[in-house]
Amino acid sequence: MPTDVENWKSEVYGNEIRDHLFEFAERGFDSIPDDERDAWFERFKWWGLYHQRNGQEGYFMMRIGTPNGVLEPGQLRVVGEIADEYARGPGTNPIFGDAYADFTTRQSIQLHWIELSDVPAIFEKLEANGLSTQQACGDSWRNIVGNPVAGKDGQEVIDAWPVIRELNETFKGDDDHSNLPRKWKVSVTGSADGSGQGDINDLAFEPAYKEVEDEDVVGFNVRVGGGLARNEPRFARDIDVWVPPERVPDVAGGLSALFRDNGDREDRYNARIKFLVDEWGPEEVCETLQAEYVDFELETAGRDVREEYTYNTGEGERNDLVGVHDQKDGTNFVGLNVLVGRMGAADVLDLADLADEYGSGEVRLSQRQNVIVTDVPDDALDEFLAEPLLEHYSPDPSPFMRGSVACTGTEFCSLSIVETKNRQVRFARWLKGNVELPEGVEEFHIHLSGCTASCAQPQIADVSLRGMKTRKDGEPVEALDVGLGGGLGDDPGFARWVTQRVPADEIPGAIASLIDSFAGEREEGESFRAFVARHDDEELDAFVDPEETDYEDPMMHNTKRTWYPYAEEDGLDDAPPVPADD
Amino acid sequence: MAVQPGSVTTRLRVLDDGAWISVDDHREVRVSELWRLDAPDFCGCDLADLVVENFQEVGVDGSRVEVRVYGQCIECGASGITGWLPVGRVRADEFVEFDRSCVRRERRE
Ligand code: HEM
Ligand code: SF4
Ligand SMILES: [Zn+2]
Repeated sequence: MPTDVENWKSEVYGNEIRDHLFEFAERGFDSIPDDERDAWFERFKWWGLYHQRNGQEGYFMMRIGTPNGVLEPGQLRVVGEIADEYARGPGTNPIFGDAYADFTTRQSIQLHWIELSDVPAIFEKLEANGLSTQQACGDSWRNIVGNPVAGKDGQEVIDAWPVIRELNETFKGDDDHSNLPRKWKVSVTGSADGSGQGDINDLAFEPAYKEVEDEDVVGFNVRVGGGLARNEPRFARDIDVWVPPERVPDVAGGLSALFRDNGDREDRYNARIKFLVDEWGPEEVCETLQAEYVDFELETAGRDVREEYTYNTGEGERNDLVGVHDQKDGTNFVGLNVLVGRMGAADVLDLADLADEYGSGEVRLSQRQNVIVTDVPDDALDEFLAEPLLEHYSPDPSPFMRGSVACTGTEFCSLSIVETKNRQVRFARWLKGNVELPEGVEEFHIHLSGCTASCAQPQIADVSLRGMKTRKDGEPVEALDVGLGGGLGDDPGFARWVTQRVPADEIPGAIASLIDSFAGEREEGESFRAFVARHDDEELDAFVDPEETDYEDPMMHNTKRTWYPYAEEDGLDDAPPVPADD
Repeated sequence: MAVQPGSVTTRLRVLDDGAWISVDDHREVRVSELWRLDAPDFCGCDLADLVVENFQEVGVDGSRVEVRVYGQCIECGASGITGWLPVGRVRADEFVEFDRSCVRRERRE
C-alpha cells in the first residue's frame, strides 16, 4: 500500500504546489483546511519550506538551494537582507541573536522563523536575484554539491561548474523528475581533493581519465547509493561507468529515472537508493541503466584520482578549504571559518561588502559549513585579512573552531534528541581554551548531530557526536554517543561508536582525556585517524574518559519539551501563537 | 491511515521521517522522550528505559492509539524496534496522551 505521503504526492506535487502555497499565504495560515495540514506541510517542502517543530506552529525553516554553494556577486547581500527582514521570530538565540543564516553541510542556506504570509515577497526577491528554494527539501533533486571553488581551484582536474549548472537547469522543475520516492542528492566534483564528498551522496560524479580513441579524456566515474542517515550509513558504490562531461545529464537523468521507477514507495524508511543498490548490487544498477535508461553505449570506469583525495580525510593536506589558496587565474580564494555554519544577518551583510571590495563580490559555501571569498588579488590580500570581521570568521582559526560542524537540533528540528549548534559553540570554546593538540596536528574535526539522520555528517569526523539521553543521579539528561576515526578519502571509513550515552556536560572532559591519550601514545607523525585505526573499540572506549570539568552546560534538561530552549519562559504552554497574517 | 474508533474517523500518521505522530493533523506524540516500558521482548531489563528516536508505525486498538518505535534502552544499551505500545486514547474526537511517566506495556499477541 502506498504511504500517505505518496498519496498526497500523486494528488498535487512539484511546481504546481507553488500556486497553492501563494494562495494560502495570501489568505492566511488558517486558510489551510484543518484536515489537510499534514498534506500541505509535506508538499511545502518541495518549495523549500519545512514546518518547524512542535511549539513553533506556523513558523518555517526556509532552505535556499545554492548549486555547488555558489553565490554570484550580489546574492549574499540578498540573503543577508532577507534574513534581516524576515528571519526573526519570537525566540532570541543567546549566542547568535535575532536574525541569522545557516550555511549547511550540503552547501545550502537555511533561514528560520519564516512566516507563511511573507513567502511570496521572499520568493519574489530571491528570484529577482537568481536564487531559489525550489526542490531544496522534499522528494526530488536536492541542491547539487561539489567542490565549491570549481572553475577557480588551482588543483582542478576538470571544471565541474558548467556540468553542475546544466544539471541544475535541467532537473530543477522538470516534471519527469519532480516526484521521486525520496530525496535525491547529487554530487559532481572536478578537483582532485575529494571536496565534493561524492561518497556520501545518492549519486556521485568523480573526476577520472579514460582512454578514448587513443586519447586520455577527462570525465567522471559514477558511484551510486551513498548516505549517512538512520543508522544505515553507506558509501556510494562504484557502478563501473565513466562518462564524458557532455553525457553527464543523460546518465544522471537515467539514474534518477531508474530510482523514480524502482525505488520503494511503500516504505519511506527503505526508499533511498542506497537500499536499492544493496538489493540489486552495482552490476544490476549498471545493466538496468544501460538497458532501459540511456540510448548510447556506456563506457566502463576510467582511472580515478581518489588516491589524491584530502578533504575530510583526517590526514595530509587540505582537509577543508579554510585559509588562503591559489586560484588558476593568479588570484586567491580565502576560506573563512563560520563556527557551526551560523552567521548573524549583520555579519552576512558586512561580508557581502567585503567580498565586493576585495574580490569580485562572489562568495561560495563549503560542505564544512564555511564561506569562501573568491577572486582576491594578491595585492589586496593583506588588507582583506586585516579586516575586523575576519577576527571572528577567521581564515586561520583554532583547530577546534575549524573542525566544528553541527546540525540544527532541538532549537528547530522535529527529529532532534538534543541541543546542538549552541552546544558545539560552547564545546569548541572550551576546548580552545583548555586543550592542546599534539605537535603537528593542525586539524581535528568534531561533528555533532542531534539524531541519527546525521545532517552534520558525524560519521566522517575524527570525533562523532550523536544525540542521546541518559540518566545522571536518576534524572534524565541530554547525552551524546561518541564515535571515533571516521573520514573520507581513497579508503573512506565511518566512525566507530565506541562510547555510548555520555552526559553532554562530560563531553569536553572526555575529549580532553582522549586527546591526552593520543598525545601520549601516538607514534611519530601519526594522524588521529590512523591512531584510532590501530586500536580496538575497547581500548578506544578506555581513552574516552567522561568527566565533569569547569565546562558548564545550561541545556541538560529535555530541551525538546520547551517551545524554544533559550526562552525565558520556555515551557510548551508558553509557546507563542501562530503568527498573525500581517 | 484512517481508522474508526467508535463512530468518528481519526487520521493517524507517522510524519517527518518518524519524528512525530499526527492525530487528525495535529502533532501529538514526539521523539526524544524517555518512556518506561514493560517489554520483555525488547531487552533484558525489568523495565526498559527507552529513548524514543523514531516512530515506525501507528495503529489503533479500540480507542487506544498504539505505536511501534525505534529506540534505545539507556539502562542496558539494547536498541531496536519495539512491539505495539499504547500512547493515548481518542475520546469524543479528542486525543488524550497517556501520562509519560507511567509504565507502558507492550501488547502481547
Ligand atoms: C528543521 C530542520 C531539519 C529537519 C527537520 C531535517 C530533517 C532531516 C531528515 C528527516 C533527514 C533524514 C532523511 C533521510 O532518511 O535521509 C535529514 C538528513 C539530512 N539532512 Fe536534514 N533536517 C533539518 C536540518 C538540516 C540541516 C540544518 C542540514 C545541514 C546542515 C541538513 C542536511 C541534511 C543531511 C546532510 C542529511 C543526511 C542525509 C544522508 O546523507 O543520508 N538538514 N534531515
Ligand atoms: S541530524 Fe537530526 S537533529 Fe540534526 S538537523 Fe538533522 S534531523 Fe534534525
Ligand atoms: Zn534494557
